[in-house]
Amino acid sequence: MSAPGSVIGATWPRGDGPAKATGSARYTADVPFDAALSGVVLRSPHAFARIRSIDITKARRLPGVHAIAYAGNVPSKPLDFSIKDQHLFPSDYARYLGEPVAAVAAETEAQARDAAAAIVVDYDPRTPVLTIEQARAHGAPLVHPDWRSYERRESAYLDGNVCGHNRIRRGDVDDALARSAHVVTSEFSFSAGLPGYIEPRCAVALAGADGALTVWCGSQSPYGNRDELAAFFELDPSKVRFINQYVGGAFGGKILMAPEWYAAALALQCDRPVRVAWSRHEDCMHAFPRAGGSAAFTSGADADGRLLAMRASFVFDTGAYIGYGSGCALIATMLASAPYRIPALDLEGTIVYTNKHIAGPVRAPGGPQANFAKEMHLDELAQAVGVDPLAFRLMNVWQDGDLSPAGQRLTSVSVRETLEKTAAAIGWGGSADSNHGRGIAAGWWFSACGTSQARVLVNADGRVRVVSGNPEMGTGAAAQGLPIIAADALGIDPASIEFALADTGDETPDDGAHGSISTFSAGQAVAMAAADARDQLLAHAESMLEARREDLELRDGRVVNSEVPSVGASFAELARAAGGSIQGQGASSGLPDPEIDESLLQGHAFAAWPAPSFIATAAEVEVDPETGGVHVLHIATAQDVGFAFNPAGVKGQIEGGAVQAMGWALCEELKYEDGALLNPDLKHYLLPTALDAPRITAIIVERPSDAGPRGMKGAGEPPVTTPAAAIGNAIRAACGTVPHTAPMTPERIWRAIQDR
Amino acid sequence: MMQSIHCVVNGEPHDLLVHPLEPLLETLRVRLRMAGTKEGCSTGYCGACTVLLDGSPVNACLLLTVDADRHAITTIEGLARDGVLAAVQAAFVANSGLQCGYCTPGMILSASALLAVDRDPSEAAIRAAIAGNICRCTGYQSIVASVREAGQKIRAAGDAHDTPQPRPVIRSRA
Amino acid sequence: MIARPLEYFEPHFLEEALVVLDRFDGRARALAGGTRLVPELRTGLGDVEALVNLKRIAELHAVTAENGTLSIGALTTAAGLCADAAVLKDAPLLAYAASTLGSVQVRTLATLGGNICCGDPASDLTTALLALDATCCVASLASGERRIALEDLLVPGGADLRAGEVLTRILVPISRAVFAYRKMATRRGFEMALVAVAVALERAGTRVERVRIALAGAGPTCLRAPRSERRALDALAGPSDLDAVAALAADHDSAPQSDLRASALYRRQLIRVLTRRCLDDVRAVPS
Repeated sequence: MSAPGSVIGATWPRGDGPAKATGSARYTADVPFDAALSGVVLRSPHAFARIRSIDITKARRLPGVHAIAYAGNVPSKPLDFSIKDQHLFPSDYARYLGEPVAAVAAETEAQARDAAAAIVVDYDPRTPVLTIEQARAHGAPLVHPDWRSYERRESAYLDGNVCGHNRIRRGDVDDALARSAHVVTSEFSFSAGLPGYIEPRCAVALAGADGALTVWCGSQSPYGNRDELAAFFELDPSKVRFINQYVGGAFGGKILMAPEWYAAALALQCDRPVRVAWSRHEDCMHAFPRAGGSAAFTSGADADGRLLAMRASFVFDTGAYIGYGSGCALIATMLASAPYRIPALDLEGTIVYTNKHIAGPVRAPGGPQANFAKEMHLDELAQAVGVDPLAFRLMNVWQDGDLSPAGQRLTSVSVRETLEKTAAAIGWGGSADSNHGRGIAAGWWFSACGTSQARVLVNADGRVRVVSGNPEMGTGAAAQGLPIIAADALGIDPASIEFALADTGDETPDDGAHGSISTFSAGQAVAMAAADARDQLLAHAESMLEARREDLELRDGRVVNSEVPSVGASFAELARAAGGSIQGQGASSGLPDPEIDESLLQGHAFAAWPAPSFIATAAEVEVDPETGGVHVLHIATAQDVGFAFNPAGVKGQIEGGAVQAMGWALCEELKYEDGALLNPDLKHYLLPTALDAPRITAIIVERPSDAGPRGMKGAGEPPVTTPAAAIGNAIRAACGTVPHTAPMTPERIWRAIQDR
Repeated sequence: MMQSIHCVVNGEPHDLLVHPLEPLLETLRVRLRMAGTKEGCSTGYCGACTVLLDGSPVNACLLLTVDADRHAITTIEGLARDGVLAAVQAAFVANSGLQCGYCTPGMILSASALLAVDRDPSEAAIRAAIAGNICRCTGYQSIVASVREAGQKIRAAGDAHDTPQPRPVIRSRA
Repeated sequence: MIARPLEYFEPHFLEEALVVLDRFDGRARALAGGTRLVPELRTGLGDVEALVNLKRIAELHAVTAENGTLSIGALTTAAGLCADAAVLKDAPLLAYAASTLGSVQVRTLATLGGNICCGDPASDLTTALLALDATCCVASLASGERRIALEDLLVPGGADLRAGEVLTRILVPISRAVFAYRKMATRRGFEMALVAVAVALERAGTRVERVRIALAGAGPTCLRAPRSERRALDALAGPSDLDAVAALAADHDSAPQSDLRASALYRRQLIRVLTRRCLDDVRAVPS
């Protein structure tokens, strides 16, 4: 039995659970199309080559071919990224091995592949830039020889192969280091990693009469994609419709369009639905991986261990185009010194182009990388000082009123609490056998709120429906969280609520499921829409029951007289009295940006972090020093979410994030040779199995923010940001050393032990 | 060239004419229009396409349909009875054993096969049984809890357990 | 699936299979479990003209014990090896190695013969069979049946079969050997070994009669470690240090290559460590 206010914060089963558990939940590849053409992409075999010409005439005449799209027959304007360095299909250079150069739609996949093979592309191969060192070398070949002519946003940095640069500076680092009793320098490197979703990408597009275009896909940002596609092809956005299906995992890899682009380009040239579906091999080739790169840290502490200064510099490899790759460097510098009080700071982030796959905003861009380097570096400094790693951190953590690296005054700071709780959960300070160790790491993360609109409908049959543009990609933020919010306002069981997958035809724009924003934006919008629906129900009840609002309450799908609950009206009756249905509307109201000190920043447009969250992870491992093998026994993460609307959802994010981070830390690595990806498959790109995954303790901390609705803070990304560092520190505690490269494979661990 | 085969899928007999190179995954999804079995990698490395072959888990992407001739196949669509979830399905829903749901059909079938032979599996046995099903969302702990609860429920129900056994209806070949 | 013109055969008897394979003279492929072949079919098989599905040949699935020899049909699956009473009793090393292969799903399909003929230098089953002194029976229309020691059949990337030949049975001498099998990969399951070591030790009372040491990931094929075996005979007789035995396996019996997954140096370390641990394991088993 539900009453308003009793739903939020409790644990409810997901509304989409039965559909997923019975196999009836539809993903894009499951949507039946009887007459769909098969769309296939032709990819550059060179990491870097001038394209002299592309000739499709022979291919166009092959049997079954309905459309061929390439630079010659799609709009030639660049794609709308912060630097306009990319086109839908290249006409000047192919800049990475596997870059799509053309797309073909034909009756069968075999015909499409034959036609793609018959497209004649005249390449003039060039020497590719394959590493960060090569990209930054003096006189290096340019990935974008015409970079000076590129349009870009004002905040976007571009200088040859360097396509991102920011710096945060405070005080005098050199002076503070000179005064430090202990100074330590450490360097780290990390490889690129896949988002690793299990559903390969797929999209179907169908062009209709008079400029209509429908796209079926599983996108993290259907409204954003719709707007971008409409603008590019100069279509009326109200005639472009993205119909989202269930998404089989995304993790930041399904924000940028990929098969959607090619399906749309082909569909606009013919009158049949065109399906573009990546095989796993192709998906690995075309994924937008987490950026690899390197970091260098130098920090100083006084004799007691108080941090005095930190200099940190990150370089990330974003691949051939900037895409949505600029975030990692902005976030890395915001993370580099956090959550610790360090008076003097010099933090720098750089992004370079190489002739490799385009990196993307995989879950918590820059997060695992920055914390890996910073937290392992700090353990080295703690050792130099002679202080226990936990005590060292607790001595230096932020408190309420401290300033962020960008000069933001911090409130609702829970670093101490997250560290203490996670340390207790892992048994910090307990006995450890040889080759057994515990490690700890702390961090913070931003919350964000995009635009979102929603409707909450009460139908004539009394059922309640939530319509939101926020796509459900697995986290439950939409399919579980939003019904909870609506149910709470209306006093009903969330399982009874119908939840619709995002469909731009509903015109409830939403910025998408990414960047830890979903429950903020869509949650605010749904809360408002539910309140509006509640208001309307009460208004109709007032007149139907001839009662006053103060005497009425919502209970179990009815509006009843509080004193005499048998007197009331059902939602169905009230909806019918309203003329068939009640429609509540709502929109997100955003999050006010806190004040920061711009004088500390150079080239940094992402330094104001409203309602930030705090997180700490502790890990326990056993290392076999003869083989370097690691057995992760336990990961404990304490995450401050401000207010937990949906505790089951938060726990799911913590547990899933721990294992994703563990994969990045220990076994996931994209391996390249001469720009070619050597392991575009799941045999050699190793995702953690159930035998690898440890026991996980998820601790929810609630220190309400003063900005988020009910004090909430963003929840989806932080869980992947700290476990890798904790595991690294645990390895070091276990065997006295640790590789400074992620993934810390057994071979690398063994070699580190040999070199000790 | 096309091969005539007879198999039973979720208790229903099917006579099919298939190309010898057609994997069972394609037959299920395209020919029989049963989309519950998912394609994840088509190379046997993710387990999303797991179905049961006479009760044993296999990757439908690796099994040619001609090799399913005279065998019983169980897919995810075959677990619920008259709209009522099987114990293992209900346990996954109740214990957050699923998030995006893409690995879920295969995962549930692997769990179901384990529970058919061991109703009280240890954690190690559960993890070994699902080692061939990659999940990227949950971190596996809630899946292990789901399987454990399913086992409890099945034991509590005694002999009237509802882990369906395949019931082959095999006709002899001429 | 891209449908290609290909002839397809489902023989029910070995003779039929041999006739077809002889006719196609190297341009036909034999299909066993399909775990390797079926994914390859998606991308094309080059000049293969025919596929011969061996699964319906009953004699290729038979497991029998007779006259001190266990005869295992080449189409026996890894799951079958784990569960077969005769294998569990007479060749437990093989059953154990099979239980570590791939995943539950892969074990349902992967066959003993397929594993041998794929020639992966890190194959669990092949490594276990080498430590069990396995002999392979190979049949063809032209030559009837020939027997060849498994280690003589293995070549880099496959098995040394002539056109028209089929591996039909694997013969394992029945013994009461104690065994150890240790495997190391990057993650904790569902991955081919970087290195694996199988050791089989036969004792008569307290006397060590035979030692077989087989290595996976130590060269271009799975291989035996003969120098290490000879040294082990002496070393296992008493309480002496087994490090020297392990060092021989790593430094003299192995020729590992650096590849995408691991360096040769690290493979040698794993060979050294896993060999020593396996020897410790078998020595610790009470007589």
